[in-house]
Amino acid sequence: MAEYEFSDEENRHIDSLRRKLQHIAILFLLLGALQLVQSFLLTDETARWISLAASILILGLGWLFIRPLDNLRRIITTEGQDIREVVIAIKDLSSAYLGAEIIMLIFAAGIIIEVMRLTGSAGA
Amino acid sequence: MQQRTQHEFSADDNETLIGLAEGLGRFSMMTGVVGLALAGLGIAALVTGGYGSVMTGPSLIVLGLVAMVGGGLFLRPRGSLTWITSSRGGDVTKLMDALHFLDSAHGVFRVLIAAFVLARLASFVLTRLG
Repeated sequence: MAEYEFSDEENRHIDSLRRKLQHIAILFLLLGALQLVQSFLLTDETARWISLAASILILGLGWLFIRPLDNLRRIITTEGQDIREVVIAIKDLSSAYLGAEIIMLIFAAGIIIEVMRLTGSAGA
Repeated sequence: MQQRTQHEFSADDNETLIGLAEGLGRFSMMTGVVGLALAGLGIAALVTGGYGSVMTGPSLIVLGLVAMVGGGLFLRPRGSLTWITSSRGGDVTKLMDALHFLDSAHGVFRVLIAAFVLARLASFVLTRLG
C-alpha cells in the first residue's frame, strides 16, 4: 500500500504548528538563560542552587520542544514518509508535555508555598 | 497530480496518539491548577497588601484566569486524538482536526510564555537598575 502523503493544505497546518512550537522552544530557552544568569548573581547559597535547578529544568524544556521540529519540517520537505515522521513528532511532543507537566507541578507547589508565606507573614 | 490514499493508523500508532492525548490531558489539568494557584496568590496579595503595588494582585488574578482558559484549550486536541483511536475511517482528517486545535492551543500558550518572559526580563532589569 502506498504511503499517505499530506496535501499542501495539510502541510500548511503542520508548518503553522511547527513554527509555534519553535517560538515556544526559543521562549523557554530565553527564560532558562535569564534564570541561569540570575542564579550566579544571587548571594544566598540555597536560593542560588534552587534557581540553578530551575534554570536547568526550563532549558531542558526548551530542548524538549525543539525535538519534534525536525520531524515536522521533514513532513513538509520530503515525500514518502509523512506518517512515520508525524508519529515520531507526536512521540517527541508527548515527552515535551511530560516535561512541561513536571515544571507546572513544581511551579504550582512554589506558588502555594508563596501564598502560605504571604498569608502567614501578614497574620504574624 | 498527487496520489491520495486512505490511511488507518496501526495499533502502535494509536498507542502513540493515546500517549499524547493523556499527556495533553494531564498538562491541561496542571495548567488549570497553576492558574488557580496564581489567582489565589493574587487574592492573597490583595488582602495582605503584599508586594507593595496595588496592581500586583489583580495582575496575578488575570494571569491565573488566562492560564486556566489556556489549559482548557488543550482539552480539545486531546478529545480529537482520542477520537482517532476509538473510531475507524478518516484517521488523517481527524488527525488534522487535532493538529488544528493543538495549533490554536499553542498560539495561546506562546502568548502566555512570552508575557511571562517579558515580566521576568522587566523584573530582572528593574532589580539590577535599582
